[in-house]
Amino acid sequence: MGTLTAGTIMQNVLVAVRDPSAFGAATVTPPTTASGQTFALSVINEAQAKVNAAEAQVVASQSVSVSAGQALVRIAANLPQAIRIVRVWDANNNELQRIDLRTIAFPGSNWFSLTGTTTSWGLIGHDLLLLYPAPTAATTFTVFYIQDPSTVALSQSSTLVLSDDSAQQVMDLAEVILLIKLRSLEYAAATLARLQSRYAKQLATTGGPPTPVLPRTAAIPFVEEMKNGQG
Amino acid sequence: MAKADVLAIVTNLSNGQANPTLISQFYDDVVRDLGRDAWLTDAIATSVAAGQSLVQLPDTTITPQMQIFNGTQLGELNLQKAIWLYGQAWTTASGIPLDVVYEAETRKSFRLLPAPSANGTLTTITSEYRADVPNYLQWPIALLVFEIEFSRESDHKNAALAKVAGDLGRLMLAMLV
Repeated sequence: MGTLTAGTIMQNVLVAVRDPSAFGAATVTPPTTASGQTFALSVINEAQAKVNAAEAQVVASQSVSVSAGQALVRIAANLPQAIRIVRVWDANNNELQRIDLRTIAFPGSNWFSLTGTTTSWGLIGHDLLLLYPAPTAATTFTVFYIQDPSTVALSQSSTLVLSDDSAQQVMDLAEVILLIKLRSLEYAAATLARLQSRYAKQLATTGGPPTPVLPRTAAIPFVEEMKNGQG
Repeated sequence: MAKADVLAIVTNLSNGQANPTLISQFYDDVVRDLGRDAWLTDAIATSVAAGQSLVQLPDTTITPQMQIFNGTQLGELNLQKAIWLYGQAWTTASGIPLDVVYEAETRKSFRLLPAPSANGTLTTITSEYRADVPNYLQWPIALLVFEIEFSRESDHKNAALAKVAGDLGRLMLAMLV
């Protein structure tokens, strides 16, 4: 938790984009300061959510109930504040191992229906949590995730959930958005380039979730030869 | 977050210049593109009757990733291999499904091969279109919609503005993964 308030950040950003009265940020006609400040606060809230996603500062946890044999958990439906899952514990607080579905091959095609003591978790796309093997009996898991703070509206007196050393990134991101609205492209592009440089590692993996989509099963040579027309 | 909320952001960012009808279509395009990258995934359970080989997925389906029949992951065959393995009457083969054969490039319909000889449950893991996306995708989608809106021929076209917005949307997506 930082010490800077959203109101302070907002004023700094509005001065930086040369719109201290927030008329340019207003969403009503004729423009009003109140409307512009409300929009600017929503932009700052979004900016801190994305900076938190990239820098993983605010991690929360939630208990998720799973029925016997249930291997999949819908993340958006069960963990609405989760941006990204980072860890999973079983009911005894044992850490489950994360598996990368791009590289793992399950031991047989019936892997989905296997039950037992759950030892691993993985992601299918960005939105489905896989528990493997599925638990034999109904149980709970504790899921740790990067939290989306933007689900709670900011007021000017709210302090940022991020530490103060991330405030500049939040301001930069908010600044780009407001400069787009103000059509000040030269400065928007320059600030965006600074952010792209800072988050170059994340950009290198862009194009989708880092985790795979398609769990595989170990190839059975005879079947594969048949399918390839060599059998 | 509802589609209307995303479109409201586009309208606010565009200072009212965005065409409401077109940005609604652009939203659909952007969400389908995200679906191809598996941002929005779901598991759809379907009851399959004995002898039923053809399965039709909902229109919201974008790209099916995997099928599981009664707990067993199915493989994927193309038509040539299906005929090679099961003969020309491959659609009438019956037994325990082992593979799927897609009917069309859209991949929204496929046949179980062989067709199940008993009733069963099919689970299809697929990426999907949603009019109600998670909160964290709201702004990136809005910026990508804004990019398309300001790239098209119009009285407010602005390629440079579109590029900055699009690049920011892609940066935000990258920050999420």
